[in-house]
Amino acid sequence: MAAGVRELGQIETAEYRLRRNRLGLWLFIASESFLFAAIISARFYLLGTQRSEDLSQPLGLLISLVLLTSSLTAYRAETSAAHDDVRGFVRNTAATITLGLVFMGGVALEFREGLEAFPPDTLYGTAFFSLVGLHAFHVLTGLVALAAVLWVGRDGRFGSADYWPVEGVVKYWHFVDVAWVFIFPTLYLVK
Amino acid sequence: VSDPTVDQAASHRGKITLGAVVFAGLICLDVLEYIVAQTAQQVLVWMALLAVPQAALIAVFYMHVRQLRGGDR
Repeated sequence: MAAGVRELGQIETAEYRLRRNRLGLWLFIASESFLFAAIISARFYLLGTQRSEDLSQPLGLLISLVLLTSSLTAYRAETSAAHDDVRGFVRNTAATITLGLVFMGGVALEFREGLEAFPPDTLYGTAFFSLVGLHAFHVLTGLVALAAVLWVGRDGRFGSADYWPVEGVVKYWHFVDVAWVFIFPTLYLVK
Repeated sequence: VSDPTVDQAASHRGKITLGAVVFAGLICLDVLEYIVAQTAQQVLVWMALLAVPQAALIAVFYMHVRQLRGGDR
C-alpha cells in the first residue's frame, strides 16, 4: 500500500515537473518573441517599407524552405523519441542539424553581400544585421542544443517514459523557425 | 483487447502523416508569400496575412501549444 502511494506520488511529481518545465519554456519563448518583435518594429519605424534591392529574394526563399524542412525533421525526431524509435530519432535529429548548417551557410552568403551593399553603419544595415544576426545566434544555440540531445540520446536514453530534453530542444527549434517566418517577409519581401 | 504495440505504431504513423500535411501547408504558404511579393500591391498586409497562419500552424501542430491547457502528451 505504502509503495503504491509512493508510486502515485512519484507519477504526480513527474507530471508536475513536466508541466512546470513546459510553462517555463513557453515563458522563455514569449520573452524572446518580444525581443524579435522589438527589432522588427524598429525596422519599420526607421525604414517604413523600404528594402534593399541588393538582397537576393530567391536565396531568402531557399533558406526559408530549408528552415521549414528542418522543422519537419525536428518534429519527426521528437515523435520518434516519444515512440521509442531510437533510429528515427538519431536520423531525424542529424537531418535537422544538417539543414540548420545549410541555413547558416545561406545566411553567411547574405552577410557577405550585405557587408558590401549596406554596411552595418547604415540604417538598413543596422536593421538587417541586428535582426538576421540575432536570429542566426539563436539558430547556432539551437544547433548546439540539438547536437547535445543527439549525443546523449544516440544509445536510446530518451523514450516514451521521458523525452523532455528532446521536446524542449525541438520546441526551441520550432520557435527559431517561427521567428524566421516573420523575419523573411520583413527583410526580403516587404516593399 | 487492442495490442499496445500496434496502437503505438498506428499513433506514430498518424503523427508522422500529420507532420507531413502541416509541412506541405507551410511550404505552400511560404511560396505563395514569395509570389504575392512579386506581384501584389499593399504587400505588407499580404505578408502579415500569410505569415500569421504559418506561425499558427507551427505553434499548434509542431509546438503543441495546447499542452499548456493541461493536455498530456
